Amino acid sequence: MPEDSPLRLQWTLTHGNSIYWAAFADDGERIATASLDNLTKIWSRNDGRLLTTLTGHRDGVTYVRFLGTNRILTGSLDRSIRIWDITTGSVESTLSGHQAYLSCAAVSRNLARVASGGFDKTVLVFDVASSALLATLTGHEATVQAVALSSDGQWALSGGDDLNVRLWNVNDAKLVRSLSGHTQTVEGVVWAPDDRRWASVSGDGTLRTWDAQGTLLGTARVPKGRLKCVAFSQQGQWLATGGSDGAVRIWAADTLKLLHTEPAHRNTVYSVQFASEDRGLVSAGFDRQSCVWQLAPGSWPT
Amino acid sequence: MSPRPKSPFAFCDGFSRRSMLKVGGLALGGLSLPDLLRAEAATGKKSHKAVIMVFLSGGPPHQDMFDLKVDAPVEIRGEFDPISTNVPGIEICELLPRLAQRTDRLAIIRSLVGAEGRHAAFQCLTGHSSRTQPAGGWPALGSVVSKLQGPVVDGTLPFVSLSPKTKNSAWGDPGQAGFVGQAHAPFAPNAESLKLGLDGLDVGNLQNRRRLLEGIDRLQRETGRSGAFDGLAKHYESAFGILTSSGMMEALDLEREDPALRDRYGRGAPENAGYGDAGPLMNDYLLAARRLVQAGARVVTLAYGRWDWHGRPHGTTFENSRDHFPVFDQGLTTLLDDLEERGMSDDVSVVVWGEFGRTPIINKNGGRDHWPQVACALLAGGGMRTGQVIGSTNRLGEHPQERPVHFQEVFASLYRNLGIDTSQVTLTDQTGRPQFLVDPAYQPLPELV
Repeated sequence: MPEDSPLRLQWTLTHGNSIYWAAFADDGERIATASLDNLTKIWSRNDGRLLTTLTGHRDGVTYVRFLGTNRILTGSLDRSIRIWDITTGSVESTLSGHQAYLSCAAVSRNLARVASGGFDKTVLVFDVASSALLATLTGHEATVQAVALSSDGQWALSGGDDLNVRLWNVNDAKLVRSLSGHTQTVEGVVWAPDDRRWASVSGDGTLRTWDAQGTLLGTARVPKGRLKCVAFSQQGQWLATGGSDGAVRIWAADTLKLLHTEPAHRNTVYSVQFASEDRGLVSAGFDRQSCVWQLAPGSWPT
Repeated sequence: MSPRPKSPFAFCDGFSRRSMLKVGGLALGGLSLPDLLRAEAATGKKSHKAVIMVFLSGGPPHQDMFDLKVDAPVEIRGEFDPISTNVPGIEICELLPRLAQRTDRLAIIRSLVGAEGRHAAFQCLTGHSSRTQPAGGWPALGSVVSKLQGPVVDGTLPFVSLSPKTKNSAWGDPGQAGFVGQAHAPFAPNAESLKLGLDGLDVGNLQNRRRLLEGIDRLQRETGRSGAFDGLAKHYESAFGILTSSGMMEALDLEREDPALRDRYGRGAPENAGYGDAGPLMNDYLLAARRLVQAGARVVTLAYGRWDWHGRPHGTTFENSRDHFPVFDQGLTTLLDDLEERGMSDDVSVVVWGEFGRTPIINKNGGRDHWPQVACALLAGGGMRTGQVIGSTNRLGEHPQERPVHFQEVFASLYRNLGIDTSQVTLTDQTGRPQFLVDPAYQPLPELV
């Protein structure tokens, strides 16, 4: 990595198998990683030390999200979502309903709702507090590979192998729009923090931004390979993507100008997430590693 | 390519085994002739023919490894580009650069046929279909060799399987003794555990070992008094360590190996590969295989990684390839180099293959499914003619185009390398009926001579 790189590798966290998701806690002190080895691990951001391992899923863990200080939510290929008490390692509740692999999940910014998508072509939305199923969103014609929820959980995005992104009103479980344009699997979708726009990435190697109603705002393309994941920074000014070339890329969210390319992983990057204060980034890869990056003061692109 | 020593087990500083034993023999006055003969044999004075079989559990993708189809349509072609090798005209996958530089030591079969299409090590271990077995069952290659050739030296085991216990037991199958009887079953130290060790030792093996150790203890006591090791080169001590210990047990103890060599192999990850139902990508096992052959094994087999890549959600075939190929590339090339550097490569045949190939068409999940119609295999060492490709497939990698090679032809070649003439030798099954080791319709591959 060049001296002036805006990304400084802080820690490399490992699993025994591919890591499908990694996320910071909201306080920025901890990191959680979810792996195909069926485990969820929680790490100290300060020293990279493993703090806790959560065991219990019967298949790979595809998603993880902290719910405040002592709780965490995971989604698994075993078709279940579990909410854990981190201090005891016990499962508080299990949310289920998928009839095939659960491939993706997302929690609303207010932590009230969780959406999941799966190989059953379905998106399910649950109430986190009560575990109640709020909506079953059907219409995808193939596996759902990516979901996202708006801050209040009312609006859902989903995409997958049928190449379309679907915008849903969760409250009445109705499809608002189906958006075409991607020519390969839609691998990632994410709302901007202000909910006024969202982004999608695809196996076709493009990053697209859209307004809240689904009007295309911009398109950018990587030179080779697939894009697998996408995240907005907490202030919404940057987008991070991960791809099959192992690179983490940082883009200006407004212009889709490529600001930086980091050769981060030896295999596909499955997840990228910014820390809450936008001074950190965590990436997770099929290479069994999660990289914790420090955004170097002064060198971060503006 | 490093120069090939004329004599097996020649040492790089000029000591020969004979001079070593001469020194040792003078220093070890009082040892009996059988002790010395045993010691001499154990050091490998009479180098023995052996086979190391690396079973790629699940079926490797031939079109992404050794038979890339760059002109195929996108739904077939795959993500990887071919690279040139050190043999003009032969190209292999870009993720196998080390093998590319040693292709002169490989025979690449691109047209392997006859796969029964079952997810199992059985056909790779026996050469036969599991569907048509004689009374008692087909014996694995190692069991046949054990029956016909016995141990290289007393106290050693002809057939060792390093395959670990796997959730999918057919992949971790150490190989059945079949109609040659349980006396020729493999020594399978990993059969009860995923960790390389001695957990699988049965009572018979323990008794064997005890007898061996009793003799070794006496030898070591004598040696210790003589001070014969003082001032000898490190490698001499190392060789003598194999000589004076329960060699096969010590061969499994990789803590005794030079850490730098373990690093060269790449060590590998102890966790189960892929979906967790197959063995790990453990390059330590490849090193252990070499050590076991050096210690007297005639056939060593191991299941290596998980190659059954149907695609998401467990990663596309290309993601899994990026995970497995570099580790495989490092481990296998180091094994070949290690055998070469020790002067063992002319005696030790290495075969690398899986139970079948993969579908030309990439499925909707980015995977390739089962394809028994054609597969690939690698052969090296054993005195075989290398630096060549045998057979070819059509433009889309669907079926053989030239020179289909049957599993049984590969087995006939391996037996030939071991000094066993499959056109003559038979073994009787449990009904007393003689059975050829391979179907008489199949001969050793003439291309390898």
